[in-house]
Amino acid sequence: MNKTLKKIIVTALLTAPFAFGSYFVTGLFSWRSDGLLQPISVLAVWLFINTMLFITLFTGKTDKVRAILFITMAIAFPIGFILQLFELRGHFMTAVMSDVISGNVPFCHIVIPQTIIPAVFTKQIVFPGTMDLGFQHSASFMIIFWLGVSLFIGKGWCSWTCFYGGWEDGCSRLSRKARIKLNPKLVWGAVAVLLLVILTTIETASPTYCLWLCPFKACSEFFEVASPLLAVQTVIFIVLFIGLVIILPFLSKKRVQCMVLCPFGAFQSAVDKINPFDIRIDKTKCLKCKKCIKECPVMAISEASLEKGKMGFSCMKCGKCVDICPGKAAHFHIKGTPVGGAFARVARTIFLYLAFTIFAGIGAGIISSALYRILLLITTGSMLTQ
Amino acid sequence: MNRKLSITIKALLGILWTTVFAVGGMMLFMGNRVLAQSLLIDNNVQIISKYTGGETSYEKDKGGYLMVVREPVRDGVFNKTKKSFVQVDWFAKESLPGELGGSIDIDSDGRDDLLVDIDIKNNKVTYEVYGSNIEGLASRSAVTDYIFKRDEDGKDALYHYRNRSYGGIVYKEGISVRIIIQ
Repeated sequence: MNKTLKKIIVTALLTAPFAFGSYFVTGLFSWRSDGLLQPISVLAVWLFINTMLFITLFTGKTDKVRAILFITMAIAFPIGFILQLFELRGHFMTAVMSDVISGNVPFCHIVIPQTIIPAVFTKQIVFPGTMDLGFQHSASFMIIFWLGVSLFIGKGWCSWTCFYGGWEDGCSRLSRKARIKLNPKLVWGAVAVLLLVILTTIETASPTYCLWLCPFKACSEFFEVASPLLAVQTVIFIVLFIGLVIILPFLSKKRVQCMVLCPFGAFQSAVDKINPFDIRIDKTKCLKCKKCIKECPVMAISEASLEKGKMGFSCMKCGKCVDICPGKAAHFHIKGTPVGGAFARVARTIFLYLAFTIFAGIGAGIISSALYRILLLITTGSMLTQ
Repeated sequence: MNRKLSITIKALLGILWTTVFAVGGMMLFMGNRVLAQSLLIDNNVQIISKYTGGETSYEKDKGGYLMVVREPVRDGVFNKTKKSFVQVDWFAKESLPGELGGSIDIDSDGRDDLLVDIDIKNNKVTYEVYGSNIEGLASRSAVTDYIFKRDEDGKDALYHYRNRSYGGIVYKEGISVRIIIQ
């Protein structure tokens, strides 16, 4: 049998269990719409995800396939999200106090580090919204979902699950060459922001990151600009989005917002300690070319970390270093197992299954929701369902 | 030999760790609703009262709609602030009348503390204060903090919404005001 054909069959066999599982995870079997547009959207996304898994297993390349999924999710997110909220509230891209009081504010994962201490000690979630299980963006749903993702892939959330991260991942890929070099110490910025927002949230009983620092208001929703204070906050959100999510990633080829500002990313780095997956360097194979140091989008690799064969705390398991290493020294790794060899292939395959399962759970919903709205626009002239 | 055994044991523990976490994660995804109920909702983890309006103090059926007076909310996680607010809601299963309101006993002491008249059509609320501890109505203009108003004409004080769940029932129309108290 031809070697390529054999590889295709093996890859197809490896993809098949996921295809079966993702049939249920994507909700392909349980659409509620009377028309065909929703099932067509879900089916298209199901095919898309399974094709991507097949490609990544077949080629052995992780990061490029991941980036396609990740960036698609980030672009799709505002389309479905904004329109869904518009239908729920009746106003576009703004949250007003009536929405806060009535609990129609989606709970965002970035809020989790700020809310966890008050939730543990006082049983209060310092964020508007609802615990109502019927609301798919409820705090209760998101907290349990976050726990599940943390067990599956840990800090891998930031490169496989975050529906915002694709914006700066995409912008960091637009230029061929980095035009500016960032100081690696900047990775501590997110840790400082994390500590700051935890303390200020406890002190003010308000989610201070969301009120003052979140750049992703620009692709979700702003507060209604009803006072000078809210006008200032809105300007800050826009400036941070343009600066940290678009311009600096484009110039530096790094995910600047994730490294410097995101408190969730810093928090997830700590949570990642309990996760069995990490990326390791096989020191016996390392050519010391430092290509991984240069290319890592979150500056997780330094000469010191190369010496140890371990990544820095900002590593989000995107797999870029694994793909580009000329000596094949970087590997996906299960803690406790030997680095490289057959163990690395097994570790990568299991990691991919878990990461793709999460993507089928959240990313598929986001992309199919956007695709559904686009198909609605084409067929009815409106993106609204009501 | 010992080194080989140690490597094998470590590898097996690593694979066991991965298996336990994969199964655990899958259980969290599949049992999201059940776990959210048992871990969070049954343990009384709630959205902070500052945003929801607080626990119900008492309800009054006004014939066609429901008036709900809440407990005073003193913002703070570990500390409680001196200034607080009381939220009053009016919920209707279908639609609220064009005008509503009346005397309200904020602190449940049997004496009315405030007279509120709400003109829903014109998005306007006027009020008269009887209780000495009442400062006025909170403005709707700020999400971060509540701007305290003493104006008689509290047109910015009205929070108007639709499809609000309260006590397990979805009300099609709702109105709330927040009354600032000392």
